[in-house]
Amino acid sequence: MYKLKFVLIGSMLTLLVNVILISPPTIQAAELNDRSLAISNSAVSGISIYNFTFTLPDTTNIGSIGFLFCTEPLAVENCITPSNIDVSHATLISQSGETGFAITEQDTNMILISRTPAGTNAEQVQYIFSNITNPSYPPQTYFVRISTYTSDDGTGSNTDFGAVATSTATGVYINTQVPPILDFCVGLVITGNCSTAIGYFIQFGDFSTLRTASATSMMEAGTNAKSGIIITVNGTTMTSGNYVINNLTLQTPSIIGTSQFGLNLRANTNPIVGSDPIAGSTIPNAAYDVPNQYQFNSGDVVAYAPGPTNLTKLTVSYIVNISTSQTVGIYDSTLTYICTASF
Amino acid sequence: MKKLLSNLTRLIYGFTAAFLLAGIVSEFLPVQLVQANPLQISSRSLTITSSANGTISTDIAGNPQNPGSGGNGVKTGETFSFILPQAGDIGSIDFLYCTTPLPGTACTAPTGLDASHVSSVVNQTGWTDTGGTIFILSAATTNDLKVYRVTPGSESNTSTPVTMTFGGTSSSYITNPTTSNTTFFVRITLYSDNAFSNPVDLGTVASSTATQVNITAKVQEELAFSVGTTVTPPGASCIPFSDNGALQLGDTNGVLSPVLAYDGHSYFRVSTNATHGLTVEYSGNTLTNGGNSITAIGTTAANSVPGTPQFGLAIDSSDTESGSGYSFNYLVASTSPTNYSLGAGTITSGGSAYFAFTATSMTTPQLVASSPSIIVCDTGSVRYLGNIAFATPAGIYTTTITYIAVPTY
Repeated sequence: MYKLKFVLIGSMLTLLVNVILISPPTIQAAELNDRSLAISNSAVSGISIYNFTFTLPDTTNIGSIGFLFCTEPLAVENCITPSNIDVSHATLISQSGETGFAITEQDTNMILISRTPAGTNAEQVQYIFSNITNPSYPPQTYFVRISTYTSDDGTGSNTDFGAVATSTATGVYINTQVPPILDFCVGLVITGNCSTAIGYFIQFGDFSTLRTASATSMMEAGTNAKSGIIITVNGTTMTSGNYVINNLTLQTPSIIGTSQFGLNLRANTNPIVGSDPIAGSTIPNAAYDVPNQYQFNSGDVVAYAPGPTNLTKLTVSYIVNISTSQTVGIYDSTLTYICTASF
Repeated sequence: MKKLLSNLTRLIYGFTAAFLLAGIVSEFLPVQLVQANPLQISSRSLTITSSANGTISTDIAGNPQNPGSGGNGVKTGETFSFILPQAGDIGSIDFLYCTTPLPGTACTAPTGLDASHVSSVVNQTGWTDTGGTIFILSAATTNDLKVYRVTPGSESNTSTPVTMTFGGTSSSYITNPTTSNTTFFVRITLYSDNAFSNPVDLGTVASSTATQVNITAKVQEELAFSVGTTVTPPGASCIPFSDNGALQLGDTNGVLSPVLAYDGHSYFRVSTNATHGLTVEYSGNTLTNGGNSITAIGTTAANSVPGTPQFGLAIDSSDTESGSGYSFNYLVASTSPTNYSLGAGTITSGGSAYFAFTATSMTTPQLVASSPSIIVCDTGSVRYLGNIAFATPAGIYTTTITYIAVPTY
């Protein structure tokens, strides 16, 4: 009986010694330094890339690194998973510093990357994961607990530890409207936009059979109408009572000594008058688009834009010639330009 | 004869009594005068600079503690204070460290206590020193300090404390007992001579080592980041924005114009204890409507040109909103690689405000502000610019800009 007691006591002592010797020493985890988490998208429930960067504090072997997503950062606290976060489909798309890792385990709030345990250089490391679903509403701050292990499966005491914080945030939803736009104006001079249009009265002075009378007016048009605009000229040729100066029904050059009233939208040399269109994409209609060729028919399309056009400055050149038989009188005319947009 | 015998007997008794009395006087009176029982010093105390045990010289975090400070039990200082019970010569004093207090009993040195490194008397106060010199160190052994006067002086101060201070420096110190919560005693004996021969006063003081209270606390990583379009004051607690982030850009109906620039503001508010600072980035597309979009200004900041499609953003330092808007005390608006710091100013044609925006931020968030340190509570005002051309297709244009806070701990 005494022998049995001694054997039992001896066995217990042996077991105690073994436990003391074999139990791993308690190691105080060092802190991961300069640690940050940059996410590509802070939208609630957004799909984001998570970029972890930190510096290893020592050269202890690392076989695995755990990333645990929680509502609180402290390792001593139970990890509560941020609402509806999902890292189970994350992919390790980049790694630097300590490399050779692959995802070996993951669920909704945990990723473990592993490799064959190897020494480190106490260096900065970076691990980037894609396809992580952010927590759902409301916007919130949440944390990722990062732990390094010497084992390749996340078992045992962690060697180093550090938490990083990030936050979802309300996005700024900007809403605005671009209205249908048609900006059209007529004047004798337009130096800027339509607010600068001035003048409406052209004074030719005395006509002569020996020279061509000429003058200009201007138009400016811009639109975001998908089908563009057409600009027509409307009115009569110059008249004095029942007497008229003939309008040019077809494109015709200016001929001194003949009765002519016509216009075009180009820079001319005979006579020297007018200017080509400036800016935008509104262009003269073919009948009014040839320098030194003039025409006037009421209702004619003088310019158009096939689609949206920024402001185009159009210069209308008028020429008047008279023959020796032109009856004396005061000749006048009122021309109206109409711009029609098709949205 | 009988009377003679009686007188003789009286004489013998008288001589005997006289002899005995003379003997008593001659044998005992001189001794009583020279070796009178020492009187007890009063109001005595020992003040130690540290009660940490004699193995401790760092705090729980391993930070060295200065000699003579509360956390250093290896190198302590001690000050004895007491009131003399009587006037008279004092020539030397003995401070004997023991585990028990009673003078005259055997003294066992407290375990680990070591006074041998005391090299001098640091301070002495209250002594009158009449006719004598100040006390100097005579000897310092493991558990005994002895001081003496080269010339004994007379002390007349019996009403206020006298003090004697030792150690407390890196080179002169007393090491506490090496066990925490250990009481130890110092038996103090004052001698009238400077040879530690004639004790006149004595007393014992007690002190104790004590277990240090190691307080460990962790301040967890903190980040509070919010975004909104309705300005609310931060208050004392850096109250986050809580609106839905909707922003209508344009006139009162949210309509843009080819001849007039429009702007709008959103806000972000952030606080963090990230010691290595924080960056604020944005991510998003330009304003789009199906396949149509309003051109993003790009990474080179530009001013407003009404009539030209432009979408951009910048930090508006002028939008303080009476303290609820822009308030950067830690953050600084980014100026590189793209300058987002010039959102204040006019947005008329060629105005003084500059904006930038790149749609590549959708995949690579763009830096708009950063802080190199912690942020108590900063609010950023982001100003958006919208311009269109006459030819900008009609429609409702939208985008969602997300802001990202990246702290580094």
